[in-house]
Amino acid sequence: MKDTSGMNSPKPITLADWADSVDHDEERIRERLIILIDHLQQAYHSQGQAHGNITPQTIPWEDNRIDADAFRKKVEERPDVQSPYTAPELGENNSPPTATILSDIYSLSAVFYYAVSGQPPVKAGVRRRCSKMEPLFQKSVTENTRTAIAAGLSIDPNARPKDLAAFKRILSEKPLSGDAASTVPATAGVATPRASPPPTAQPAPHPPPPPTAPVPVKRLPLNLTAGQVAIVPIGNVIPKLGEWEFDLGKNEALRVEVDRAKGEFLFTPMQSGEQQLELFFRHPDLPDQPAQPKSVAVTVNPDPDSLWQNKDPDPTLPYQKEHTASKELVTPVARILAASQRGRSHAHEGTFRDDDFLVRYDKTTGWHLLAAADGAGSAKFSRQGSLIACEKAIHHMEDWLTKETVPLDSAVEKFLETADRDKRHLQSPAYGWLGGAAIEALKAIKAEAEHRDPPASLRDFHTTLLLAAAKPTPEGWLLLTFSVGDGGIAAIYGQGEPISLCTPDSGDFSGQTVFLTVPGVLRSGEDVLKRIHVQILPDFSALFLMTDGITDPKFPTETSLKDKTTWELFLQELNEKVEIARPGDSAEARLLSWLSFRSPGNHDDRTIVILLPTHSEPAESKESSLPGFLTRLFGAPKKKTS
Amino acid sequence: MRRLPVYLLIDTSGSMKGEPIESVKVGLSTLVSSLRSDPHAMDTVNLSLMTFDREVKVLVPLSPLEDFVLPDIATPEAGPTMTGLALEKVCECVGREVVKSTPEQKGDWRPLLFVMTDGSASDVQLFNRMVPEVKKIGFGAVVGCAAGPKAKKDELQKFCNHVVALDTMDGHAFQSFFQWVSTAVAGGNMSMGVTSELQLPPPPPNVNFIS
Repeated sequence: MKDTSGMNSPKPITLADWADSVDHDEERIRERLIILIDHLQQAYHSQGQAHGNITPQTIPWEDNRIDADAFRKKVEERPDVQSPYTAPELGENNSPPTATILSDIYSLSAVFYYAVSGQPPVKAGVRRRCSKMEPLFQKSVTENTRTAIAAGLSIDPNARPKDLAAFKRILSEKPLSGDAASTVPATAGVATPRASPPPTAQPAPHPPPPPTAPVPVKRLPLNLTAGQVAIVPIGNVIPKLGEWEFDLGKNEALRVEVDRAKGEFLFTPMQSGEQQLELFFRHPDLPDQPAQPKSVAVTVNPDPDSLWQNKDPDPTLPYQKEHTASKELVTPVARILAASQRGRSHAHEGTFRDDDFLVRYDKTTGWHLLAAADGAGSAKFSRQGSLIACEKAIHHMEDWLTKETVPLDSAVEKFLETADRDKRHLQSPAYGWLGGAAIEALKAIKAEAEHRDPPASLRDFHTTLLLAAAKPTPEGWLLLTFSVGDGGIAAIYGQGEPISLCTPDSGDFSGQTVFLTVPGVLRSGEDVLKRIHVQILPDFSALFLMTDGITDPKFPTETSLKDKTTWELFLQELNEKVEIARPGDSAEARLLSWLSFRSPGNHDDRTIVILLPTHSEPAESKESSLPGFLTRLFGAPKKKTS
Repeated sequence: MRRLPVYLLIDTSGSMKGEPIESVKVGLSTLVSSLRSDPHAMDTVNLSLMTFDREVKVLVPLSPLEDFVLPDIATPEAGPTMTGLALEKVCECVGREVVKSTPEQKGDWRPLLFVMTDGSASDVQLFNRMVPEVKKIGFGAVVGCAAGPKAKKDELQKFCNHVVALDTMDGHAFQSFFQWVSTAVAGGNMSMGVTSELQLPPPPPNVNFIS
């Protein structure tokens, strides 16, 4: 039953107020936190929902429990992505700003951090520049609290406790005895200074000045990165400063300042490597004593951006390949843009671009033929594997059109005549056409491997293959696709609806995939057929073929390749950076330069092939171009300035 | 972001005491600084360091390369070498720490395991039971390093897909080994077949390739 105590207090008490009032007493905080967790679980997470707006200021307390109504109202207020309590993934470009259970767990952990320590775990705004949260406590906290907060504040959502039950478990688990405790501080991310004293070691109220200077930690509990500012509380470096004062040794490579008012060190390291923070301790009561020097080891990581090299491959190696390729192909009914760029990791190691693509238009039949392939980075001739795969597959498709047009046309007719668009009519010709193209490509790669002296293995040519054939019909665009390996094929239609046109081939771990060249992948007719997709799209606005260099950063999961919001963000970026609609000059060059976008951990070759229908635009005009849905999304194409 | 998890398992039984363990420490710090000079590794590599003697210790749980701080490594005077227990711990940690792909989430790169020992397992029964478990994990590579004349290579071959041997246990040999590990790790963050193994670079002259 709701009591009437709320009437007495016009301004509701928040968790922040309460935590301040109990002086951030860890034991009491933990009790309340459990109440909050239970409420969150019951009201939101058990229904698969997230709250999304959890901060110390948005948690209204009523007596010893949450004011459920007020808490619910906070859901409707949009969370501020710059807030130090909001999970970092909610502010990223490519993720929809939708709260999840995991983002709630981040917020909860940040709130818990505040409640225990009296300040947010990071400064608002600073967070986006750090790759990792550093939960550094100014005072001693129990192992469970520290572990729970460190896990909950993981930048990678998947590294957090997977649900509230798991979070609660960490909080309430009995601390492991013996050595376990000593294992924790070894990683900087969860470390408090090893020298943190147990709470029993309280000094007497006014002790006489100690004869020796305080002992700082041996090593800074977190590693710094060259060129990146880092703030570290003084208490984490010098646990028991007491009345002592200190000066800093001059070190141009490390550049340290002290903000005594805030009690923080401010590091701006300029050089990477092992460095020393030098401290000279003085006591105000002992002005005649010489300053006592102490030093703290500091590891400064290099700035990753400064490490990338751009090397050319050995010019005597076989199968030389250009680092980039791009192409624009304008047909009477469509525009095809394609670009391929050597990955940063390949440039760094001086290896070739392993990706390839090929686009063609068959005038006689009106079919657009697109291929993209990604040679395995771990295979030594994969650059040639991807090239042969694209060339041979497209050539087979062109050849086939000169011989087998009649069965294809009649199959298309039959397909369009059936009320429910029975795809079975198209399966047989698509099998012979696209499946046949893949098999021919595989044969050609085999021949190339055997032809080498000494003969190479098929695995040296490992490559994926994405194929598409597209043609407008009176009922809409007809799309036939085939895929083996990672990367993706997708089309956009209607009001920006994405549809995936590929068969996912990923394994348990990243980078595990299937290649065209893996024995047995195309063994049976069924193996081939399950890789073929047939689609007719009346309000078709774009078709995309992308290698994993693009799908990994932009569409990291199978689900995201079908997700409308992810696509909207992607298309918006593409439109802003590439300006596909800009008339006159070379959009393919802009597409190519866009391919150099930065994405941490994603440095593979990148290849994209885009088909944009232009409906009845004349073939020579390049200034049409934003079709259907894209025009509605981005506005009309800009007029050519003469 | 997908990580490349690298597990380092180091034998710290009594026979490693003294120069060998000091050399290993130097080797490890070479490994870490060498990886830190590789920008791709800086983005992806996560290291975990475990030691085993009469007990197994997780000295550093899986943590990003940039945060890795090399801890002190202690060796007991004497006692058994619990290799089986160590493998059990590795399997448990991988199961807990490494993210697998699902339609909704991107998995980590395939984890790598490097095991270095100068002797043989004392807990033979558990060791034999753990061999198939290690294989089940799906490591991109399991590399065994037999350090010195007493290391049992055939035991390592049971669960490793590559075994190398160091004839001596001096600083130079360990340095070479860990340098080689860093180049091997650098190959771990690229596409490979679902069933194929990581192809390792050729080891340096004083590191003998056994299998």
